[in-house]
This record gives sequence, C-alpha cells and structure tokens, in this order.
Amino acid sequence: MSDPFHECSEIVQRLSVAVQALGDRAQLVQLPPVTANDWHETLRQKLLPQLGDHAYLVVAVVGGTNIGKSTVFNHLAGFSASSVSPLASGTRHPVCLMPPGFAGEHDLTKIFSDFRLEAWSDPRLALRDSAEDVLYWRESPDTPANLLLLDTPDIDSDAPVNWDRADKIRRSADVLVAILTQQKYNDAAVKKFFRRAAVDDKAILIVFNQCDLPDDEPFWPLWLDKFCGETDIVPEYVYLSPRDKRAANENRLPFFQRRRATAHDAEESAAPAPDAPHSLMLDLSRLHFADIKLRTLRGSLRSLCDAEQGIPEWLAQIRRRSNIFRSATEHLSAERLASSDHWPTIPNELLVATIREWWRGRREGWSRSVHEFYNSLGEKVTWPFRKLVGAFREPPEPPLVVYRRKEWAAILEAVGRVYDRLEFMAQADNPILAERLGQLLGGRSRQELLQRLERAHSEVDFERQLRELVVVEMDRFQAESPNIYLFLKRLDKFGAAVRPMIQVALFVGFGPAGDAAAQVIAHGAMHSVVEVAGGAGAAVVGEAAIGKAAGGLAGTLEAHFRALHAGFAAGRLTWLLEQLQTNLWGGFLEELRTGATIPDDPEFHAVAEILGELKTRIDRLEISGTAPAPPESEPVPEPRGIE
Amino acid sequence: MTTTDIAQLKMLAEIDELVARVERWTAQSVPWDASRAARSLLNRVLKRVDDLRIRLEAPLIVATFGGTGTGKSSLVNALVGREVSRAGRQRPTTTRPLLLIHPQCAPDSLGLDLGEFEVHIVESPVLRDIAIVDCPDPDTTESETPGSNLAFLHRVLPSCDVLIYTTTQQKYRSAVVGEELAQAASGCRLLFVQSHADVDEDIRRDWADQLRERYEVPEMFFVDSLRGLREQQSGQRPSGDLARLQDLLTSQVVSSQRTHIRRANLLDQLLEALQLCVERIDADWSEVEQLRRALAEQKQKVCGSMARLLQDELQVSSNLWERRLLSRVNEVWGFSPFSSILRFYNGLGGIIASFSFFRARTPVQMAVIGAMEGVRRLRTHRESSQAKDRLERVASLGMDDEELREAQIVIRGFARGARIEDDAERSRFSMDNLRQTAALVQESFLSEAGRKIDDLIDQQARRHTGTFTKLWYEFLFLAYTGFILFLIGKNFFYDALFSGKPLYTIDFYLPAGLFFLIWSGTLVMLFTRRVRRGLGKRIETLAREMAESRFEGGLFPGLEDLVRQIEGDRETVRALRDSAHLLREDLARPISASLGSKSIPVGR
Repeated sequence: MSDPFHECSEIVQRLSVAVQALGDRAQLVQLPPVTANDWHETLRQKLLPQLGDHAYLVVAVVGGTNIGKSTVFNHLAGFSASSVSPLASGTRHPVCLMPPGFAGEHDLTKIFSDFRLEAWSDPRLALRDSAEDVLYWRESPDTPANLLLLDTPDIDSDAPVNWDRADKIRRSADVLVAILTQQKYNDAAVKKFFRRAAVDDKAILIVFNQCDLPDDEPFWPLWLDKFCGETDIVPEYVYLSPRDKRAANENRLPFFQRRRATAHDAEESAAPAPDAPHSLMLDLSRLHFADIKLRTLRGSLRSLCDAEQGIPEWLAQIRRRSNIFRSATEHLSAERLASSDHWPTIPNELLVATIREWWRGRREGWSRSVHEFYNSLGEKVTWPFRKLVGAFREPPEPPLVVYRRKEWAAILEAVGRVYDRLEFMAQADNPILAERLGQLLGGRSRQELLQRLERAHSEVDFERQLRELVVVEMDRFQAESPNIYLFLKRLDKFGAAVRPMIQVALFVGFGPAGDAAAQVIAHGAMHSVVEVAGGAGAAVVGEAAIGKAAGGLAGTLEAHFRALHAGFAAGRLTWLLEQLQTNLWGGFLEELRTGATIPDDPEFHAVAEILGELKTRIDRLEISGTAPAPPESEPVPEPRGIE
Repeated sequence: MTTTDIAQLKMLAEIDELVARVERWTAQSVPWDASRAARSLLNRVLKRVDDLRIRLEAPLIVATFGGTGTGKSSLVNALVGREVSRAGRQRPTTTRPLLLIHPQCAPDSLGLDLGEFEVHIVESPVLRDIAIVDCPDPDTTESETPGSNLAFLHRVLPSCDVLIYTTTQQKYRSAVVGEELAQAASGCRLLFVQSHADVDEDIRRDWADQLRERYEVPEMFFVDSLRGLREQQSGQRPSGDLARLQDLLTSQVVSSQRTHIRRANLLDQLLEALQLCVERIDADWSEVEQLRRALAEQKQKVCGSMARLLQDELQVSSNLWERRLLSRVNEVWGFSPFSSILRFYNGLGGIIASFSFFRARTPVQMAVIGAMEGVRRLRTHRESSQAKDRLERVASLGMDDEELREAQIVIRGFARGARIEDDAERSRFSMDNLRQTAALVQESFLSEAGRKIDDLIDQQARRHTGTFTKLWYEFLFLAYTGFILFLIGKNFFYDALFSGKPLYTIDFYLPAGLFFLIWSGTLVMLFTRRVRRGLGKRIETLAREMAESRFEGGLFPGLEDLVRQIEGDRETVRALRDSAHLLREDLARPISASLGSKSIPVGR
C-alpha cells in the first residue's frame, strides 16, 4: 500500500472535519445539508473508512429489479445466500459475505456506517421490508481473502428506498458486477446508476443474464456497445448467462466469458470462444486487488475534487448564496430602515421645563430660596387668571400626549417603510429568502408586531428619558463651557438679588415665572430664550458687561439646545430599532449578517485550503497510478478455498 | 327511438351542459393565483375536450404503452396477425412510431399528425373499428428533449382512447414507466397485458396489487405474442389470452361503443382536472379565509370605535336632544293649548339654539339635529370642504391617520399572504384612498345612526305623550289659565258692572302674567324632564346596536368584494367537480367491466 494514500488519508480526514464544520455554518444560508451531496457520501462511505485501511476489495452485484441479481450472487457465494423471488423488487436489504476472520480484523460498522449490521441467518431476511437500512453479513469460507461480496437491492423499481441503499453500496464498492438483460440494458435508471460508477472509476464486470443462447450471440456486442457508449464504462470482463430457470434454482447457472472484438484481435475472436463456463469468483479473485483499490480510491478522490459536482461546486454554491444574503443585509441596514427625517421633535415647552428643573437643582443658598419664593408666588398670583382661561377655553391636550401620538404616527410610518422594503425584496423572487420573508410579511405577524409595539410604546416613560438626557447633556455643557455656565449662574444670582424689585412675571435666566413667558419660550425655541435671557441680563447688568459674550453665548446655548433635540430623537430611534429587533426580526438580521460573511470564515478557508492540498496530492497519485501494472496472470492476493 | 337511445341522448346532453358550465367558469376572471392556475389548467383540458368532440365518430385509437423490451411491437403483430412492426432484441427497437389502419379507414379523420407515423394499411378484422398506434418506449430516455421518445409520447398519447399497457416480469415495477403511465392514463381506457408468457412467470397478481392504488383494474392478460403470431400465420385461431384480447378489441371496442368510450374518457379528463383545481384552490383557501377574518375584525374594530364615540357625544349634547324631542312631541301632539305653549317655548329655544346650531360642529351633533338635515349639511359640507377638512371629520370618530395606517399595514400582509394580486393593489392601500374611504364609511355610519336617532326620538316622544299625560298637562295648564280668566271675567262682568267694584289694574295683570310664565315654564320643564326620562339608557342601547350591526362597507370594500368573489369561485368549482363525479358514476361504470382506467379519488 503506497505512501501517498496514507498521506491522502490524513488530508481526507482533515477535509471531512472541515467540511462538517462548514456544512454546519452553511445551513445559515439554507443550503441543503452537506449529506445531500453525492461527493460527501463518497467521502463518508468510501474514502474515510477505506483510505487508511484499504487491504480489502468490496464487490457488489448490482442491477435493475427482477433480472437475477440474487441468482448471480448465489452463484458467487456458492450457496443460496440471498433468496430468489419471481416477484420484482424482492431484495430489500444488502447481504454481505466475507472471508472468515474478516469481521474480527476490521471494524464493519466503520466500513458500512450507514447500515445497521445484523448477522445473516436466513436467506429470506433480505426480502423483509423495513424502514431501517439493514445489512446482513456472514462469514463464508468460500470467499477469497480480503474480498467482501455484496448483494444489493434494485436501482429502478418503484421503491426509492431500494435505490438509496444500492447507491450507498455503490459508493463503498471497488468492483461492481453489473447484471444486465436485453430488456434493461438501455433503461434510463440503469444508465444513470452506472454512469456515476464510471465517474468514480470502479472496476466493472458485466453479466448479460437471461440470454437466449445461441440466438443472442450476435446481439450482445451491440448491447455492450450501446451500454458502454452511454455510460462511459470500460468493463473488465463480460459474461453471458442463459435463461435457464432450473439451473438458476439449483444454483448451477453457467457463465460464459466473452471478449469484445477489437480491431486488433478481430481475426482471433471471429470464431466464438470455447464455451467453458467460468467461475465468476475465480475471475474475481484474479483481479489485481491493489490496482483496482488504488484506482477506485483515486476515482473517488477525483470526484471529490470535481469542479462541477464535487466540493469546488459546493463552495461556489455557498458563495453564491452568501452573496444573496449580503445584498439582503444591504437592503435592510438600520440606516435605511429608520431615519430621523420623519421623527417628531419633542415639544420645546417640555424640554424647557426639564432644563429649568435641572437649573433649579443647581441653584444654591439665598438665590435658590428667593427664586423659589417668587416662582411659587407667581404661580399663586396667576392662578385665578389661569382658572378663568381654562373655564372659557377647552383645556389644551398635554404636550406629552400630543408628542406620544405624533411619535406613534412616526413609528407606524417607519414600520410601513420596513414592510415596503421587505415586500420589494420578496418581489425579487428569491427562493432562498422567500419563506422567511413570507413569514415576516404575513398578516398575522404584522398584527402581532403592531400590538406589541403599541403596548411597548404606551409603557415608555418620556419624562424620565428626557430628564436623564437633560442631566447628561447639561452636565456636559457645564463641563465643556464652565465660563458660560458661571456667567449664567452669576446672572441668575444677580437676578435673584434684584427680583424683589421687578414684577413677578419677569424672569431671569431659565426662571420664567408666568404661563405667558413659558409660551413665548416654547414657541420661540432656544433662540428666544437666549435673546430674552440676554435682554434681561442686559437690562440688569448693563449692556457693556455682556456685550462681548452675547454672540458666543447665544450660539453655544443654541447648539446645546439642538443637541438635546437630536439626542432625544436618536434615543427614540434606537428604542424603535430595539423593538423591531425583538418583535420583528428575531434572529433574522443576525442570520443575514452571518450568512453574508461565510466565505470569509476560517471554516470556508480551511476547506478551500485542504482541497487545494488534496488536488496536488491527486496529481501526484496519477503519476504513480500510471506505473506499469503487474502481469495479468499473476493474482496479487492468493485466492483461497476455490475449487 | 328506444328508451336506451333517449337515455343516451340525455346523458350526452348532460355532458355537453357540464362542459358548457366549465367553459363559462373559465371565461370569468378572478385576480387570485389559485383561481388563475385552475383556469389555465381547465383551459388546456377544454382544448383536448374540444379535439375529442370533433372526432367523436372517428375510429378509436388504441395505443401500446410500456417499457422497452416489454413486447409492444410483438403484441401489435400478434393482434393483427402478421408481422408489421419490427420486433427485436436490440433496445430500443421501435424508433419511429407505427400507425396501423384498416383500408376502409380514412386516416385524416383520426386527428393525428400523420407525418409523425409510419402508416401501414392492414386488412385485419381487429382493425375494423380501431386504429392501432405502436408507440416507442418511455424508459430509455433520461430527459425530455425535442424529438425524444418522451416528447413524442407526451404529444400523441393524449389523442389516444385506449392504452394497452404491456409489461414483463422484469419491468412491471419500473418506477419510470409507472410515472409515465400515471400521466398517460388520464382520460384513457386501459388494458393490462403481461407479455413473454413463453418464458416468464405469471406475476399478474402482484402486478394488480401494485396497480390498484391508482387504477381500476378489471382484467389482466398473459400473452405469448410470438406463438400467437405463428398460429395465425399458419391459419389457426390464436390460443390463450391473446384470443381473449382480440375478442375484446373486436367486440367491445367497436363502433357502437365509440362515443360511449370517448365520453367516458372526456369525463375522466374533466373530472381529474376539476379535482386538481379543487385541490389547488383548497390549498390556498385558508389564507383567503384568514384575510376574510382579518377584514371582518377590522370592520368590527372601526364600527366599535365609532359607536363608542357616538355614544359619548350623544350623552353630552343634552340641549340638542331636548330641542329635537320637543319639536317631535309637538308634531305628535297636534294643536292644543299646552302644545301651543310648548311650541312657543321651543321656538324661543330655537332662537337660542340657532346660536348653538353653529356649535353643532361635530358630525354626531349634526346627526342629533336630524338625519335629513344632518346628512344634507354633511353633504354640502363635504362638497365645499377640502381633504384636510375631511380628515378632521374622520378624526372626530376615532379614525385617525394612525388607525388607518395600522389597518393598511395589517390588511396588506393578509392580502399578500392570500396572493390576491390585481391592478388596484397599489391604489387600494394608498393613504389618500384610505382616508377617502374612511370618510365615506363614517358618513354612511352617521346617516344610519341618524335614522336610528330619528326612530328613537319618535319613540321617546310617543311614549311620553299618552292620552293621560296629555290630559293631565292640559288640565294643569288650563287650570291656572281658566282660574285667571274666571277671575278677570268675574271682575269685568259681575263686580264692575253690578257691584261697582273697580276693574283690575296693572297691579293684578302683572303678577298674573308673571305667575303664568312661571307656571307654564314649570310645566314645560317638568314635561321636558319627563320626555327625557330613560333617554340615557336608550342611547346606550342605540350605540350598542350600531356597534353590533352588520354594518356594510369597511375600509377595504374592493378587497371584501374580491374575497366574496373567490368564495363564490371556490363553491362553483366544487359544484362542477361534484356534477362531473356524479355523471362519471353514471356513465363510466358500465364500460369499465372489461376496460380499466385511472382511479380519480374525489375527496369531499
């Protein structure tokens, strides 16, 4: 057993692990499980168990239903190992014969990992119909050393589970004994099966069963040409076997070897070959085990690396799907979903009131008590007037209620845009995302989303959020522009000092007392606040004192005021995105993002790298594989127990 | 004409009627995916049905069908008794399909494209009433390409009336052939033949078991075609099942049965297609059902919130109620002293109310003012006002933009799930349209409410103006008036004239008038209170009734129409399927005594 195969074995094992890991990740992009790929099954069923330990040959009898597979198998076995039935689709499970001691030396569960192994006890076992894949095995002294002989279910009946089991055995096999009949050699299902075997470079023996001899003598070369032409198979040997029911039942069906007439030996084979029945088993044991093994292993390795059906195509598929995910992420990026353009601004009166509260907290000592006294006095003095106004005019809705309603409208608009975008994506008719999008876009899920959003929105405490924001923002202001802060503070204190002298309704800094003043500020935004503040300050301290600072002061204050607005809107947008995340997307966006990056994952790179390594190895194998084969007559392993 | 002839004609008429109904159904268009798919399927079948009707009287076409090497050509040779079709050991043998006809048969009448066949004219008793097509196999080609066997079969088999399905011990469970048969057998009578009787074992029992799931299998033949041909060539009658098969073809598939078999095939095709349509429509139906439920919920929600607001507003506008009630009472009461005084007070109130008339701004208040007047005002209002104004009115009954948008988002999802797509899709969900519809909905809701309010006022007025109440108030009113008049009369006619007492001066008339005002005012007030008794409860009931009423027209009237249309569509296709099923029971059963066919499971 040559060295390169041991090296390959190590690479293939690494490849298997890497493929498994990538396969798990690839489920994110909704790729069918990696086991659905033919190459993967070859990897698992053929290469993994046999690369490290390839000292045996797996021979399987395969073919369509009811054409005598089991009959040929029994001939090979030398006894009735598999039951023969006149009804089609009889054999349900494979039967395996092995040389004595084989089961002790090898781990059968590793070789046939997809089957439940059961010891053979009765030829009728294989006919039993069960959902589980079972392989019946038996040691038989007539089997040559290092040879496993298998009977398989059919490949063309109306029981697809049979095809599946036959496919599994085909992948493990090194040699296929192909049973064909004149009725079936050109069937689509049969051709399809053997074409796959040809791709994996299996050694193939063809048996034309149920021939009318000698009438069919002129026909078999035509059948053979057609079959080989369609499947690209080059058979090792070709046999004819007559239609002889009794001989078949008594397990003494003869097999006549035929050689295909080539231009080279046209004269020689013009006369029919001497009709001495061959023993298939003897011919099998004469095969060059090592060569065939190497050939099939190499064939399987090649189909693994095949650009159209192997791992490269799988990787390309992952990349394609990943790209779809990437474009989807771009469509659904947060910036596109919720922009602040349509967001309502928090009413200025609320903001001002909160800032006033903050300012009040900063007042100290006598100025605090003076301001507080006058503020409450102002409130008391204006109370009857306010009452009177309230009696005549309907009370205006509290600004917070108005804001809440406006914000809900904005949320609905944003949600509508999200759905528009999703719908646009769904129209792109992308089958990979269609199902998920369909779920998201369904009426029921929309209803639930709106209900949850509404509930969450009604529970939001705007005042607290505003207060927290103002504290953060104004503390920053205090830290960033201590001069202005101090100036304002001094102004405020001075205001407190002169306050008893001026009217109750007059105000200083952020201390407007009357309702009317609040209205003015509310509607005029910070600009007017600053102006009024500046004006009042000027009135009190004289223009010269403030003249230098006024422009800078107004600008800074306005900027901070704007920042407060923007900060609040940003906070609300974040809230909305969070809500959408929990109530609409779930893991969807995250999945999209991860799916989009799979080709950059280490798992992906690992598979690609190991694959490249394997390819160079295979190229080297080819060189050693084309080395001259040992002479045909000399069987490599000693046949045992034959005749 | 015999009775069986008439029965036959009746049956034919029924089938024609059914076909006409199906044609009518397919001519309609419903903008729903499943309906469209069902219609396009039926249209295809109808085309075939038409073909079939054209060649109703042409000889039946019997085609062989089966895997390669199952002895189709040999069987054909054996049937006609001479070697016409090349049978062989090489697969596939038949590459160009054969058409065997009797010399008396006009090949053009068969409705086949004769260029595709190798036509042989054979004088054989079997061919007297039929034409035989020897088809290529369906199982050597791996994919359907133009010019392949599969393409040919898919083209020709639909025009065949009877299929002879041949198989062998090796092939009877072939998956590929089985699938192709399922396709080919729709609208065909079937004959089942196991060939190679000379070498193979009889597997007919197992074969029949396999077939029974999908086919009706009355009889199976086990034929040795080669021997049969030899026997006939040597002038003998063929032996075994071949003779039975020949008999069947010459006695049962004869001209008298032609129309019968063809009609049965036609019905089979129709029924199969209809069954598929029903399944297709049922598969998508649950989504439509969900949409319907969502629409109903939406309507309920809109209705409920409008009714709630209606109730609140009605309870608040008490002075409007009084005015309406009193004027109604006046109408009911007719002319009488107390009613005159009521009218007087009401008129006075009317002058004051004409100020409040301007205050009756909200639509609900207008509804209280009176259905007729209110609607008229609403209408002129709507005509004169712009969209913004309309929006305000909508908002007054709780249908603000947010609610409309919610409805839009949700219903759109359901409509999408139901796969209803038509041209109106975009405009249906535009906010402008929704606002307009909402205004209309509100208007019709209010006019309905106005009618109910009218009724309520009428009832209330009548209930509190019974004869006794009337008499009682008239008496109380007249008692004072009469007393004053008595005093004045006595003073004028008796005291002043005879007793020489002075006439009453202004000192008397002033308090008398004042007390008159107080007395009549009190009476009117008492009466008004009486009339209003129980009004609150009645308003509540009214609002509840409005909320529960099967109020027509929601925010998506177009969608509701579509759902109704789809519902009707579903019912119709089911009815068609059931009729086809019944007809088939009547017609197809009798001939399937010897001929098999595809089973069509009809779930109900």
